[in-house]
Amino acid sequence: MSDHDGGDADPARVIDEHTDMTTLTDQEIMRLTESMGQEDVTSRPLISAPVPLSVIRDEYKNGSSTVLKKIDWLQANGWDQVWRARGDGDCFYRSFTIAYFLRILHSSEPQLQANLAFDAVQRALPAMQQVGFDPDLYEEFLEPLLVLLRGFDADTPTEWTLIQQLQDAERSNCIVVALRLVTSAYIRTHEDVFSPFLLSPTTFLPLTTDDFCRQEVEPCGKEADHAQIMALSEALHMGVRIAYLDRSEVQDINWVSFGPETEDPLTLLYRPGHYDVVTKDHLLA
Amino acid sequence: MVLSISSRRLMKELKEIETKGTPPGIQLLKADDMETWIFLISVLGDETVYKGETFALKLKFEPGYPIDYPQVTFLSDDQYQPPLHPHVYSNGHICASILGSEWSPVLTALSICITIQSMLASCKKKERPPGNDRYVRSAPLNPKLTRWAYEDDTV
Repeated sequence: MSDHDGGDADPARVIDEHTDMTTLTDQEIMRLTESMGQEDVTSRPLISAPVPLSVIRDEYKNGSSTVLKKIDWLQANGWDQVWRARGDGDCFYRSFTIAYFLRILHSSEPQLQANLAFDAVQRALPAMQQVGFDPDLYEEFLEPLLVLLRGFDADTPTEWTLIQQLQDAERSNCIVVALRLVTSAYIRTHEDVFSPFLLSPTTFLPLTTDDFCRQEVEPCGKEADHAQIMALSEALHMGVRIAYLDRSEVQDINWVSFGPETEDPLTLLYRPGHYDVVTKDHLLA
Repeated sequence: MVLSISSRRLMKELKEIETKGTPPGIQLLKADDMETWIFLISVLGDETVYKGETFALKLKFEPGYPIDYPQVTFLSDDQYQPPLHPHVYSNGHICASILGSEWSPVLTALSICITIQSMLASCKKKERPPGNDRYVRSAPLNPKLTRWAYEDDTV
C-alpha cells in the first residue's frame, strides 16, 4: 500500500524480447506504446468503421503460422470485416455494443429487434437494484443505451450514423459502464454459478464475488474474461460467439459460445488481450 | 445547453446532500462550483487515534467524472493538516484502491468520504507511510499521476 514508485496497481510483469507478444494484455500494450512514444492508443477511435480482415492478417504476417491459418479460415468462410474497438481494457464491452447494434440494424425487422433489446435491458434492471446499485446513479449510464435503442422507432440508423454515435466518448463510456453494471449485477445475483470461476487475472487466486465485481467488473479499463462474457450474454439474453485467434493447434478455429442459443449470435474476434467484432459483409448487405 | 454527465451527476449528488444531509463526522465545507468540493472529516467515538481531530478532504472533479475518479487530497495549509496515517503522505496524497484501480462510476463524493473516514477509523498507529519524504519530494501535484501499488486490501 505504501510503495508508490515504479509500481502499478497490478503487479506488472517484465516485458522484454523473450515475451510472447501475442500474450500482451491491452494495458501492457498501452504501456508499451506510451513508453515507445508510438501512436498513443488514446488517439484511436473508440470503435472503428469496418476494415477488411486482411488488415488484421497483415499484422500477423511475420507471426505465428497457426494464427495465420485461422485468419485464412475465417476469410475462406466469409468472415471478412472487422470492427475494431480501442484497446483500452473496455474493448469487450465496446465490441459487444457495436455487434449488438449491428445485429439489430441488419435484422429483417430492426424496430422489433430494437424493442426486444430494450425489453432485455429493462429485465436486467431489477438485479441491479437487488444488489444495491442506486437507480439514480445507474440510470444516467443506461440512458444513452436506451435512447439509441428507442431511436430505431423513429428512424432506423445507418451503419455510418451508428458508428458516429458510438464514437462519441461520453456516450460510448456510459454504455461501457452500463454494461459493466449489468454484468456485475448478474454475477452477484448468480453467485452459486460463478463463484468457482472468479479468479484474480493477475494472481489466479480465487476472489470473493464482491471482490471480483469490485475489482474486475465495475471499474472501467478492466478486461473481460469468460465470467464477465458469460454473465453479460445471459443477463441480456444474447448469445455471443467468439473466434479465438490463439496458438492452439486446432482444425479451423476455436469458436467459443456464451449465453443462450440465439439466432444470429454476436460474433467477436479475440486476439490475446483484445476483442474486436468480426462479421460477414455479404450477410450485412 | 446540454449539461455534461459530470455536471448532471454533481448536481444530483449536491441535491442529495442538501436534502438528506451527510453521515456523522462528515460535513460539506465548500461546494461553490462543480469543480472543487471540500469536506470536513472526523472520526467519532473514543476508540480512535484521531480523537478531537478534524481533517479537510479536497475533491477536484474533472470532466471525465464519474467515469473517472476525482483528484482527492487532504488539505495541508495553516488551518488543516493531513492525518498521520500509514496511507496518507504528508503532502495530503492518499493511497486507496478506490482512488485508482478499483474506482467504480457508481461511487460518489460522499462514498469516497465514507471510505476515507473508515480508513482513518481502523487505524491503530499514527505514522506516515514508509518512504514518505522520498515520495513527497518527487510527487506530482495531481495524485492521479502517481502509480500506486496496493499492498493490502483494507481500503
